[in-house]
Amino acid sequence: MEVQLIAVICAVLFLVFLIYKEWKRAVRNFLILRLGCTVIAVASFLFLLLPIHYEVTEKVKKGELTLINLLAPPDSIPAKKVLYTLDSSVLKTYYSSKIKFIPDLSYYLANHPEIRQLNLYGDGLAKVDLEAIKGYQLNYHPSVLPTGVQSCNWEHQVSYSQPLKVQGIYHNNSYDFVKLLLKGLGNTLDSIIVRPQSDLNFDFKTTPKQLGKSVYQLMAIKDTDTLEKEDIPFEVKESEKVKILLLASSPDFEYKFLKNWLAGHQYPVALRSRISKDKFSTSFLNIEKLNLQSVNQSLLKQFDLVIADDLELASLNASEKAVLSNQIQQGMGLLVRMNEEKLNSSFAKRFFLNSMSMGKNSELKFQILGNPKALNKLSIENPIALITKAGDQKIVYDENSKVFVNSQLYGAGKILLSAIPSTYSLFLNGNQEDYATFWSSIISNAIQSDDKNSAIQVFPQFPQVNYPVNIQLTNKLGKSKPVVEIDGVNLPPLQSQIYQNEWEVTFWPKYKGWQEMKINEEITAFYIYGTDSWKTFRTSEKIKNTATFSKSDDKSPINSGNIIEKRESEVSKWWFFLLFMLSAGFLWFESRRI
Amino acid sequence: MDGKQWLIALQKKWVTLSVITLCLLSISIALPLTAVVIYLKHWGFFQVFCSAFLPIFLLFLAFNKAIRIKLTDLAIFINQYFPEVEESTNLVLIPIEKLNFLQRLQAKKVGEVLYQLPTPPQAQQKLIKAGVVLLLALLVTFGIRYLPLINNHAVSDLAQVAQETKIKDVIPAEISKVDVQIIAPSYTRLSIVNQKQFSLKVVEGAKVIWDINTNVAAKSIQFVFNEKETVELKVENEAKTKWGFNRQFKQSGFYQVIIDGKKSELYQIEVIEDLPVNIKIAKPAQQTVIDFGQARKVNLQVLLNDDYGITETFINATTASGKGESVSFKERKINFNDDISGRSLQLNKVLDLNALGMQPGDELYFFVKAKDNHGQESRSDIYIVSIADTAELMSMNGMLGGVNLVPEYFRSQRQIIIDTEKLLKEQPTISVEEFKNRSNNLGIDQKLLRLRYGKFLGEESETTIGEVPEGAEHAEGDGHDHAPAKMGEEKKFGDVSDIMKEYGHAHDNAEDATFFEPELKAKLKATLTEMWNSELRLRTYQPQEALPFEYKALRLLKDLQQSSRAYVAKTTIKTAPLKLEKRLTGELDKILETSIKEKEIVNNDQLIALQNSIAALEKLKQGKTLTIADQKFFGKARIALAQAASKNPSTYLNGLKLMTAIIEGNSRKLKDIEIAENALQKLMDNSPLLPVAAKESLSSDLGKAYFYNLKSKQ
Repeated sequence: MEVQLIAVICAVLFLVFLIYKEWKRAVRNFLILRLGCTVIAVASFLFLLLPIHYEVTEKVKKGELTLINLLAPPDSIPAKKVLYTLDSSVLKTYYSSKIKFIPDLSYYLANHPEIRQLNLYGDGLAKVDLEAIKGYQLNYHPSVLPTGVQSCNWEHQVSYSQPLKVQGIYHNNSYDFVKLLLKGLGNTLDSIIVRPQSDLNFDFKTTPKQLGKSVYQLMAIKDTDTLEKEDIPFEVKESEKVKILLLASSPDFEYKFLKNWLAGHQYPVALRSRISKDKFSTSFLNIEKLNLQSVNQSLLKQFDLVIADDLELASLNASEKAVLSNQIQQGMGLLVRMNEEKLNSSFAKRFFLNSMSMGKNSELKFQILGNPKALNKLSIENPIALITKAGDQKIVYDENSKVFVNSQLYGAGKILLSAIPSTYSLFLNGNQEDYATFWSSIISNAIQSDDKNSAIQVFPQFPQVNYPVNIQLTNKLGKSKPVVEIDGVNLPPLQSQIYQNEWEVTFWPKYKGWQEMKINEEITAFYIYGTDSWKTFRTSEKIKNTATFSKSDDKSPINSGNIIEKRESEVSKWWFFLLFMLSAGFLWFESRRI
Repeated sequence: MDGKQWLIALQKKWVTLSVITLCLLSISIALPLTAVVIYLKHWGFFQVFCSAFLPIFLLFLAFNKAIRIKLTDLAIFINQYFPEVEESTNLVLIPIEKLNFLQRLQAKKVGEVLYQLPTPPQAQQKLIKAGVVLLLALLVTFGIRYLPLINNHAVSDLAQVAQETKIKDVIPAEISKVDVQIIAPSYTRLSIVNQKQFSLKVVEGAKVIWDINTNVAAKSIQFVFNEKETVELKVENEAKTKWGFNRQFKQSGFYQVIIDGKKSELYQIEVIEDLPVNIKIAKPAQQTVIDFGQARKVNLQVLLNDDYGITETFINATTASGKGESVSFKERKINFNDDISGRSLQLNKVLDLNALGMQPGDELYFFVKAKDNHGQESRSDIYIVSIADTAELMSMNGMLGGVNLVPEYFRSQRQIIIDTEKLLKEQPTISVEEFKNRSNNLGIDQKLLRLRYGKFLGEESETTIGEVPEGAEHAEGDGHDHAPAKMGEEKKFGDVSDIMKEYGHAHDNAEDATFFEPELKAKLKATLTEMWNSELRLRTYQPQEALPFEYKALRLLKDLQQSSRAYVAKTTIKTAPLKLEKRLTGELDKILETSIKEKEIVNNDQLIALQNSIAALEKLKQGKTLTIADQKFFGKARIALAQAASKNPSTYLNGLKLMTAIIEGNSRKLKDIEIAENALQKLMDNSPLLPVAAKESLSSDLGKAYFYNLKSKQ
């Protein structure tokens, strides 16, 4: 105010001085005009310094609220509208005088019941705020998705020897190439380059060699700048050893190699091979001696998987067959190996052979379900393929999609039929890796484990420090209420209204890193991410959520007339400048004329 | 004043400046020349430069006139250049007595004027020009030096083995100075290297001498090699501040210095192995067949490389001749004509198979053997050169007894060869027309044969395949007949299929289309190409040139014949008839069943320790404390790392150092932990994919319960 006052006083003094000079001038031409121009010139000069404000009243559509958020592109923001924001940092980034700040949306909306429609610009609203505007008409103008990881998923628990797969989408908005890296244990394990202005589905794969909890890093690098560095926590667990019973109709190399390979990796294996009528030779590896003379329930209960010849299964007596079938229905796996060109046992007859002959000796390149890499060539004499029917799952197939190992659900268990007579030649040819892949995939596909007591799911996907975490527990059916403890604090679980074995716990993490949780004295762990982790993921998640919300929320706009809003406006300085120039110009010209 | 003296001084000055100019010019020419030579030949700078500079300079001296300038010439020059001397400089050169009065006066005047004259600028101008030329020459020289090194010699110098380590050591504070002298074995011809640090990179068998000076007297200084072997250093002075030790190295590893019980960090010893000579045979291919008509010579091109020097190399050639059981081998050593020395060589040798006494059908097996100056021998793969045996192709062996697939075709190709040779033999005795006629006829035969084979490939025929077109001419007694293939068969009257065949247009026979495997078809196609070529030559009356193609066609046909043949041995075994009612009725109660409990296989300790150590290191990264079990795993992992580092220090030593620091609690830095983790995981092999039960989510529990209930209701 003081400065303005000084300016006014100065201007007045100056004006008085000028008028005096004009009055006193000898040549008294255009006196009135000169005096007028002097006054105008000084006044407009003063108004250039002190702009004139005035209030305008505007008719605004009643019930409209325009919100802008971060990342709203400046040119998309509507002019001549009263703008509001929920994010105080917006005030810094955009021209501040036009924007009003709303600290709490639901409170504001409750105070302004006339508002029916929201125009939203920028990166959207958080879930809480979206809840608050349910029932309102929402016009959402989303900002472009930021450069960064849009989604990312991996298994948080990996069994030893199994690969860790990190998959996701990276969105590159920039005009440069971005390099994505998976780093762990001081090594770059996998990498890919994202082209400018494109999306990329990345699929990183690495087989961790260590055990226990580790944190790998997903990094995005542009030239030498690190754009993003996110934690990829996971745990490698020694897998439960699958117990396998091998029933051979005669001693052969295939069983011998399989037995030795399984035993070499500490798998419990029992092998029974028929050497004559009702005479068997048995061997046990990593397992106590058992009586394998007859197949009965107590025997089968000790195994997860039976691998048997078709002929051997056919030679089982009726009660043995019934026991086996019952056990498979309970969840055990059975892999039947074909010996002849026809199917003999009742288990094998559930499948069908492809009658088309494939020619004499074929070199086949097998492809295994869930394994992108084909195996090395395996030569088979007179190969027979299988036919898949509805409900079957093909597990091993060749380049021409001819199926050689097929599987069927049988009760809670699975029956597999393999038409590949021998695979040990892979082993002998030095393709141990292929041999391992083949048998591991088949065995893994044949059995399922369910001896876990409880499983947890953590929401959100990337829990943050100081934000609530919802943990969903799934208990074994019929178990009582779980006792949950985190950092020595008992947390009360909330039972699901629909499923009696599902429980929910809410928890506020205090620090970053692995968070251990005790459920019924059993320790599980999940990872808490830092506050600035997965930023782009969260932003794009917010944008997508808001967009989906606005689409689903399609109520017709409510025309409830206009309301009058007052707004301060300013007279453009250009007018005063023009006046000043004209009057000063006249005065100058007039003085030259004399 | 005497003007003559002034002129003499000027002459001296002139000559000196001229000599300097010439010298500069010679350098200007010699320098770029030297650079070019060094660039191409990699010789020493000084020798090349001197041998270039001296002749140029001497040539300049011999032919340049400026240095032999005479006083009279100079006088004329002064006359022309300075008007003050009034054209009378030469007067001062003439003895006074010979001058007349006026001349004397003038000479005296000029003498005075001369002393006031400046030195003519021409003398320096030349020098300046020469300087500019020299500058340009220097620029060119440097330009040549920075040209990309062309590899004009694939065999040119390899990089010398460098005994310099790039690691920067931390030397214990007690040691004021350390001198390490590395003496490489003499055969390597490497110079002695002196360094001021402990980490070593030496060649195999190098002797290392340490001289250590300490700040204060030390009671003892020890070296611990690979954490196993401890050696005491020798004191070399009374004050116990100078210590020495020496040792020869054959294997990589690491060592540590202990001064009065205080351990230093670990220092790397990297031993560079001496590799045997690397032999690469550029020519010929591993399997070469010399066909009829080709020169019986093999051009052999070998590239040899070694780290220090090649002392000996030769070709070991074995010729195998004869066949069946009477194969005889002859081995001989063939030397290269070139001089064998240096670190890399490119050798050429032409092996003359005739000179080796090889006949058609013989084979030559050879390999190149080389020895380096350390006495290590190495040899190349075995290469085979064989001369195609045309006589073998002509033989009827195997044709008489075995399966006779399509013998007449083969006989025909053979017949064509025989006829061609016969024709060539008779050429001088028969008329040109006759010669041309017979050559043409042979071409027709070749065509027919080709068409017959073309049939197998389903090629469209020009005429009816297998039948001689009616207009075809045959010279009498050309030794072969072209009886139509189905001469023996008489046409049956009223055979519908025959009539159909005659009037129908069968494109190709379904059976023919699948008659051969693709591989066979490809061979057949190649045969046809040869036949085409042969026919072309025969039709253009060049039977001599057709002969190689005929032979090649025959050889390919022979291969075809062999590949589609199966031999079955005759068997004469009679088995007793089976009594089916008696089968599987034997008494088995005395047969014992075997039951074996095999030895349990357990995971090795080291792997478990390594796996768990990484987990523990990850814990440290999270800022958690270690358990006693973790410490134990660390201990075992450290031992494993130390073992690995003694074999391969460049990979594992840094990890070992940091692992030790982590175990002792000296470092918790993220980067150090990562390096240690990296080293540990390098020690582990990749595990193959192992069977794992597919995990089922627990929410399917409800489904299961439903399933069981459903079953019990059934």
